[in-house]
Amino acid sequence: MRRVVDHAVTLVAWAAGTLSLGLLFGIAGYLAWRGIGAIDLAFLLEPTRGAGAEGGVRYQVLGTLILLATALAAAVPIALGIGLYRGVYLEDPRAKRRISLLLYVANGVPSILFGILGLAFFGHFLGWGKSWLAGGLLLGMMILPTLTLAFAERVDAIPRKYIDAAAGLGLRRSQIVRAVVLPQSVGGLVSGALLGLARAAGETAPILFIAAVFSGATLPKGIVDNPVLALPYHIFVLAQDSFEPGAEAHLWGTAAVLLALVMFFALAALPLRLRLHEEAHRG
Amino acid sequence: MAEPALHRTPSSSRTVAPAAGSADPTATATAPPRPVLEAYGLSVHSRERTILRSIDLVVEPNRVLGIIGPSGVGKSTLLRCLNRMTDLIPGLRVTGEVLWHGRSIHDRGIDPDALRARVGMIFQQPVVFPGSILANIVFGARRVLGLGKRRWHETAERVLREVSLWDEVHDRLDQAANELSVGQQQRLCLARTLALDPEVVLMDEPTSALDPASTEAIEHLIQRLRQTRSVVLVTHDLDQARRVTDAVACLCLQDGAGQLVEQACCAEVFANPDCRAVAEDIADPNPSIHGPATHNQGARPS
Amino acid sequence: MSPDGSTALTVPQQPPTSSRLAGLARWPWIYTGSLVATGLAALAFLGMLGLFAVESLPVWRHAGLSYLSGIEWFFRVQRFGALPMIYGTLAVSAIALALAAPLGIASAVFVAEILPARLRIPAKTAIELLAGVPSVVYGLLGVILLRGWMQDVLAPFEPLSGDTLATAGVLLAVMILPTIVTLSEDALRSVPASQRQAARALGFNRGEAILRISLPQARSGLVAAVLLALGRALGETIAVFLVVGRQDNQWPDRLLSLEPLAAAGQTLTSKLGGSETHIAYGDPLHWAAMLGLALILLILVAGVTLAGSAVAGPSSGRAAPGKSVRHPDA
Repeated sequence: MRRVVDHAVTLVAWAAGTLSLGLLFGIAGYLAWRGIGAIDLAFLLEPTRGAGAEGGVRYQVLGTLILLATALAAAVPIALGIGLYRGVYLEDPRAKRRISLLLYVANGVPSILFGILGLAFFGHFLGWGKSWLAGGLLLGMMILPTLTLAFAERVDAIPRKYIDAAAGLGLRRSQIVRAVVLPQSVGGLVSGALLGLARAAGETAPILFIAAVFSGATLPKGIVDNPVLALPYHIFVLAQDSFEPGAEAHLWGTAAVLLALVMFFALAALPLRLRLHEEAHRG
Repeated sequence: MAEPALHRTPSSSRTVAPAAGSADPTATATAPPRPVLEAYGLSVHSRERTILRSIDLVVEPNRVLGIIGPSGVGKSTLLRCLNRMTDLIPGLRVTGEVLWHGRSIHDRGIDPDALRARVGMIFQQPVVFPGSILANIVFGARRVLGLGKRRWHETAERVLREVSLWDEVHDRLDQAANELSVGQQQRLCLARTLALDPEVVLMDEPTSALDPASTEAIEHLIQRLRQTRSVVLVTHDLDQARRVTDAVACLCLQDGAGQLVEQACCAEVFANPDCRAVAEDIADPNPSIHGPATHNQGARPS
Repeated sequence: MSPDGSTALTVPQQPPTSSRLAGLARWPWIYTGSLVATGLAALAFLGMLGLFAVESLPVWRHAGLSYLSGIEWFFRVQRFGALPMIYGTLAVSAIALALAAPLGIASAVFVAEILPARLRIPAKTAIELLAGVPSVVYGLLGVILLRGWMQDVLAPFEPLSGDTLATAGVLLAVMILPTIVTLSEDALRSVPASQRQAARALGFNRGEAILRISLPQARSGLVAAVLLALGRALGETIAVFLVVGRQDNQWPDRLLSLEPLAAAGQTLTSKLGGSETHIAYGDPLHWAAMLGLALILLILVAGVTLAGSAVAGPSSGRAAPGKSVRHPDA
């Protein structure tokens, strides 16, 4: 009987493991297979032609990069501020926990709700129409908890002894922040930013109403009524239409470019995270 | 060496006998050296309990004051009260008075950061910052004193010589400080504090993590430091207290809180039966008190 | 002793020189800046909650609680019942969890307890990377691969197309699988190896050690992993949007029957992501009804997240996104 239990558990685990790993690697392989054939340099550099299904994705890539840069510029200073306020200036541990909890909740907010918020605030209240800035700010708001939590985790991990030693030398709190806290925690902000960018690059819902269009935009020249093209939105629109055969290659090519961008950020965050974990172990 | 005469109760120690080196050792009534730090009725409460109750303490210039007492009696907390490091621990409430050259350190006009620069502190475990030896030495001085880059080397040489580390490290100042031995690290920490030229150095069991040779080096340093500064030394090692201190304050646990039994010169303290009990308690070879068991690196700020 | 009460600590016996006090200039901007940043973020997120609550007020006044219990949504005649969308969201998420939770936890056991260490790290890395695939790409896979396949599988129920609640549920299951595997694996690895060794020393075999030691001790972490995945499933928009059919007013005659799952449906997110959101702005009541859906969704997801954090314990950073998993799309 006991041997049966052992065998059963092992069998179930093997079956499930093979199935889900096979499924996931199958998906990855399928995406790679469909995507790699569809892209070349010209695909990256040429603008879209025809009804959006021919040519390259030049302005979709540029638009996505504009959105990402804006999101990063908006989120990094705020994440820095929250992380320092929570980790350095806030002394009550219960209040710290409460902020962490709020960050978890904020991190779970569905991305479509940022789209709705953007439509109501930037679109209706400020009357911006479709604007790249609105999209970037919304994406920045969406990835803010990711950045902040990654940064705050590193701030919390700074050994107390360093803070005490620096305070014992008479450094002010602001000097301790610059001399001790930031050098030891900025890596967390960087890896959080990379993870946030990986997420923001693929997001469609926040930019759906307020920042992205399918065609007819190049580089923005102002803020109001200056939308951009974006890779995920391009895929989203093309996937909805029953596309003609030629469009499918274009679609997979776009997906491959988007995936490459996302994986670039995710992989860039990986060694940093591993190194940081090692450093944390060395203490 | 003449033992400094201290009255038993620090509250009356405003009229202490003059210290060694005074012009007239018999003129007990003439102007005594002003204490650098004095504590009166100092109590510390956490949210749950009273940690220290009504401590009176006097730190004389050019003297080494030892603080002894059993584990958990609040010796480190007492030390931290003297340079307001207690401010950094949320939930601690400090009552009573601590005077710095006669002025309360809790006055509104007092800058706690400037106080900490004048009252340096050395911890049980050496705390070196990531970075080079030189960067560690000037870590405080460049920020607190605004020490210019051109003067870093001369400062490093001065303080490293003062802690007898110069010969060992002078050719590798730009190497990582955490590659030094623990004993060297502790002397480096002392050098870092001395670079700020403090008047008082608080030491929280500075040798408990060190090997005998490094311990001896630190004890020599303490002896030299007292020529120009005051030292407050928390120690578990009664022999060390006898060797290097001019006076000893003995704490013991009463009703769950640390209280001062006596502050006097060593012989007197050890003659006091209460303190002898404390001393025997400490001398009881309890491995958890000494050595690596007290390692607490990587403790997170809560 | 400084009568002027200046902030600099005075040192009576050694009058401060200028060099002694240099570098003491305050930088309040770090504190001020961090406070402002925190305030801005709080304002933005609380503003979102407040906006949804305030702007949806008209529909609560108009329909009262029947906004939640009504099963009809005809905006031209100002009938707003959100129940079919709530049903769609819950049904899709339930399918996803029913498929992904057992599979994911069993796979986590495989990765944590059976896979050799040198394979575990690459496997886990790959799984975490897959958790980051954008939902629009999963949606594309759903449109091109899953839709036709599901139509064949569901043929006995004669669906009108491959776009059904079940299709969305299966797609969501695939999407949340990496999240469940990697978080469950973290939970299992956090059970000390000494516990397992002690069990083995008592004569437990590996299967028994997994059943009696690893899984029970990792329980709260496993529940938290499933709840986090549920939160993601509830809020997922784009992938669901592409394969759910977006058919309004799909309310099943018998609540627990499975048949409606083989038909097209509408979720809170697919409704919000659709073009009706643009149309709605012209009519304050219609707009309020849409924002009411947003409010319901926000409360639903926040509740699940809070439950997950409560289960995982206050000190656990396991759900921290920067650490082991992202929350890629919602």
